[in-house]
Amino acid sequence: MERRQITVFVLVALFAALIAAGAFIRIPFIPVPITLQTLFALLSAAVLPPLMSLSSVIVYLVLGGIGLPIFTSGGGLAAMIGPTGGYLIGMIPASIGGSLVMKAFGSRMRLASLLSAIVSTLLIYLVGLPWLSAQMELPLPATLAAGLLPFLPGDVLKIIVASAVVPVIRPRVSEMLERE
Amino acid sequence: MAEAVIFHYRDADNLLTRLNPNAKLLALLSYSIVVSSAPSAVVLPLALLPLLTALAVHLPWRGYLRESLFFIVIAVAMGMTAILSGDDGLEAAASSVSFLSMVLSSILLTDSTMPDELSRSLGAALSHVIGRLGYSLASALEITLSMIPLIIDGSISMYESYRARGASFSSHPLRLLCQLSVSMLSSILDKAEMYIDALYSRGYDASKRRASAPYRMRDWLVIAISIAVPIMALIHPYLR
Repeated sequence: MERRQITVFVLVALFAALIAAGAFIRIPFIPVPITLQTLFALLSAAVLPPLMSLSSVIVYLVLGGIGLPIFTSGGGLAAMIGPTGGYLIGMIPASIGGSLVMKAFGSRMRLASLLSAIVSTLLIYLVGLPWLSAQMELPLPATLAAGLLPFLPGDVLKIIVASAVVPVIRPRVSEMLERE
Repeated sequence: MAEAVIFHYRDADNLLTRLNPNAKLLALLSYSIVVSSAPSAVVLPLALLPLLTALAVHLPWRGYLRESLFFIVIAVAMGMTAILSGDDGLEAAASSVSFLSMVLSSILLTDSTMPDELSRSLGAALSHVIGRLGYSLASALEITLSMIPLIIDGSISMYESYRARGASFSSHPLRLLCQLSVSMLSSILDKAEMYIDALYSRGYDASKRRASAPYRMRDWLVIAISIAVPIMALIHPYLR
């Protein structure tokens, strides 16, 4: 196998492992504790090319889907098809959307990082909230109260962190991928 | 230490542990399909299957109940919202019970299966459908599994060293989180480069065929039942 192929492989596995590990890292915050799972999903989208970012999310979802307890709520099919499963499935479009934004605005790193993180977060909610509403048969105000509002401060924090971290990490990863 | 906390595999001598990982995974998928689509009156007896299995393999209930608290809360919320939406008590109970049954089935799978073996077996099975990409997926799953405990241990050590220097999330959460994230990612990327060098020097090939757990008669029996039951559930009028 060529070195570049191995690098791609290891980076995909690394970011999948980061997303999984993020589910175990809880930071006390108001109104609910933050887990770093979505932060690493945002970073994966902003740092990796689209196909690699998508692959890392799929590896993560496959591992959690087969039962390993690496989602925030545990693991297994029940977590993926249950009321909060939409937030997990939403990582798929988020990984592609965030990565494409970085590609489009690549030269303006800080702006691209911020936009990528915002787009990725929006895409997660665009899948997660309707899924939650359909599963629990909740009207829109109740869905927003249960599925969006408590997590908004933490997500804003994650967007700011992602936009600060990506300009430092992305050049390093790009250099690793360009090395023969 | 992180590995023992994350992956719940228990090395026990029972039928469940001896079954092929793919047979168990297929049984889990089959059961999930049947229990989630069964009529309310059938769900409650179906829920007995993972419950009796858990009792037979002496599942350590206390630890799993603690970890599954989130699922229990979700199941209760599902039942309550079903009642508030006009469903009767039996339907509401069935939706909660079917959800919890799937959770328990997943716990039984991870309790009785080594994660590495599961990913290798899955890759071998998928290779019959998607060719060498199945082995590549299995390799990616194995590398990911090996990295998760390293990342968690590294993060904990880094966080404790920051705290030892007087850093606190309550005073500067944003700055601390940025610093921690950059330090952690830089350290992890350093390790990743060493990992890449090591794999390259050993001529690593992710798509190479790897040995996986053999299939025995009992595994084929479980696979046959797992395929037949959802099909029967689909065509049998009482189970629809």
